[in-house]
Amino acid sequence: MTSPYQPSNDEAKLRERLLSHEFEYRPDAWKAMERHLDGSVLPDQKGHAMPDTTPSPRPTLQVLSVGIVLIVSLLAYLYSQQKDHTPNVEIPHATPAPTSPVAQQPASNVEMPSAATTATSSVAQQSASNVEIPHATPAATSPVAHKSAPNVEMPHMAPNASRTLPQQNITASEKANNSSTANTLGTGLEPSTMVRQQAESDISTILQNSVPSLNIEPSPVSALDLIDNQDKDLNPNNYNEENNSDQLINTTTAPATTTIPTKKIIPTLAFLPNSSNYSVSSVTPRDLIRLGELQIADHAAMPQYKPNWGWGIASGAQWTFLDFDGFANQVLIRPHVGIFAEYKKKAGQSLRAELQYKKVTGYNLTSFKSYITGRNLNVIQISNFRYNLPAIHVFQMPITWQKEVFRQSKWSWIGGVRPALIRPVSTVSLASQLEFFDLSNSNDISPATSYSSIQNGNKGIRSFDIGLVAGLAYQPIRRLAIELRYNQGLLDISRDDFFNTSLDQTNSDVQLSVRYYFNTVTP
Amino acid sequence: MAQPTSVSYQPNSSDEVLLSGCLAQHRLAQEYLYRRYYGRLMGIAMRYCNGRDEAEDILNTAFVKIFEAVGQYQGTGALGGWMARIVFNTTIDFVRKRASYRRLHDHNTPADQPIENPALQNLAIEELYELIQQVPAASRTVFNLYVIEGYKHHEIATMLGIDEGTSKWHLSKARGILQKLLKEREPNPSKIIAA
Repeated sequence: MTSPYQPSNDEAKLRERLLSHEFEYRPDAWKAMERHLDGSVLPDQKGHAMPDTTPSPRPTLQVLSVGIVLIVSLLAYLYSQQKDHTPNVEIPHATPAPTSPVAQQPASNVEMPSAATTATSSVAQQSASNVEIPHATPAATSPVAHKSAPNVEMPHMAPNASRTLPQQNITASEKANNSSTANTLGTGLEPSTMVRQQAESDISTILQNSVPSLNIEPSPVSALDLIDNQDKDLNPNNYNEENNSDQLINTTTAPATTTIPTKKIIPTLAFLPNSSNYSVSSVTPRDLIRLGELQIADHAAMPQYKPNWGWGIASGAQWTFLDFDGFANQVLIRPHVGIFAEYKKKAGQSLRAELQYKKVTGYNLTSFKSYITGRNLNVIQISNFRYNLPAIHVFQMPITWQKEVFRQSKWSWIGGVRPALIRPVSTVSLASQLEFFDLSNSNDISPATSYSSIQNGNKGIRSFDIGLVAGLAYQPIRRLAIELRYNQGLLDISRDDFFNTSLDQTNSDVQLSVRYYFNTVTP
Repeated sequence: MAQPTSVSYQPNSSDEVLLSGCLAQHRLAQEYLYRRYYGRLMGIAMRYCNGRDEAEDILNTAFVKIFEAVGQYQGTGALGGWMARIVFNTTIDFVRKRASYRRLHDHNTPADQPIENPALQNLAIEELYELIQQVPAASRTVFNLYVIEGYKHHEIATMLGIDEGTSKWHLSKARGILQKLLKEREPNPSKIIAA
């Protein structure tokens, strides 16, 4: 191995120094060697394009990818649960209904508002039979209330004066409360007759003196039931015929316990406040009417809207193969996000178009290139450039066909095509200073690339890719789906072997995504 | 051959004893052999790589091959030379995959201009490695093979899979870069006078 070339004296000394030099042993060198021996670090034997420069996947990105899947899944699930199971009517007790047309109707349609106030007492109704009482007035609810308010005791009366109702317990004290409710509603209204005023005053005085305090136990109240009773309660004749609390008030000889026949009771949201300090007057008749109205509306048959398109967002993690041959050693986990639109063609089948973005890092392709950047007679100027490709941006547009595995199944097959636009994150830097060569002896240099083309940022990487998609989707609930699919790129994105790699670099990966539908197709 | 026990291996044990231990895949014998030849073999990888970590990784890969092929050593030559050959081949395999060579510029290179600079002798050994590592990988490889290892251009061309002219071009390029770097390190008399 003797060279005919005789190095200079300086080069010979350089050679001698380098060959005779021994590096100092590093204490942790053997630990690294043991990892090789134990097999945790495999020696490169496969001949990858960049075998020793590919960084190991960063754990933070892996955790981020898996975290995105979990968080999006959890949020989407909670949101969908909230959407699917939220009660149809949600009305707090203390909140008045400002826009209910029914509730506002009484104030405007009452012909004799003050009479409505006095009509809260059945005694008053008996003594003033000529009073007109519109059915829809707020006063119409007050007699209803005296049947629905529960368990009010009257300590001043005989022990048997109180009565217990199986569904709706009421005593005279409740009537007093309802009177106050009605009075509240009727504030500012003028009485129609002096007779009514006198009767109302008498009854109010009696009730206030006899019932010093009212504590109403919480109890469900059927608003629909109350409304059903309006007509009957507003008729003075009915009060005489049926079990009337007014009679109990005026005559202590009434039976100790009176049972009101059970009526149709539909559970509603009209629960009285769960507090012993709450009086029944805090629930206004307007609220009760409104609740009843809403309940009736719920039971009405609603028209069914069946959309045949939907859209949503998708996110998840992907396992990217930097090259297909290097499956075992070059897999990176990275996140991806996207939006999609879905169109239902037939039952159980749909066509979906997506726009998805992902950034594939982990590449560390480097290439040193020399180009003729100038020529002057027989002197050429050569510049050396260093190209580096650490990552690529990928905008994918998968168009997939989804079909249920079997009818009414939550599992679906997925298949389709995936065009993609690729934008490399490449850097070009001048590797060394300019060099000049004299071509006086030979001018057969024929550079393959001109200076202008080296400034192309996309050099070495294909900008368009096409691939195939196949996978499986699972949709446990209507708005959420989990999807596992494989994407196989069909083109070698590292064209021209620019980075000195003969292996195919394909845009292939396995994706685990979570899809959330803002608007779903009807199954 | 009787398998030596662990107590028979010492840092100063002979190569034959350590080789027998390595043949039995005894970890202590492997460690002592590794420690003994680390400094000498590390220099081979360091001349072709960009840094110590990269060179050590190549060295460890080569040692895995050495421990696996220790039975093939027949004792005809020096053990160090045999191991150096494996490290060298491993290193060349590595740089051949990584470095990019100009294949299309097959032109006559200017006349070789060996490095003539007295500053080369004044540099510490660490500075020499640092200087060489500033040369692009392809040119550095050719320079090492030609100047340090003593190969001919046609041997280098065969070894790296390039043309002979390309090898010459890279040698010239490496020398040019080293000359410039050495000139930059020369003390500037005007600055000294000004100081």
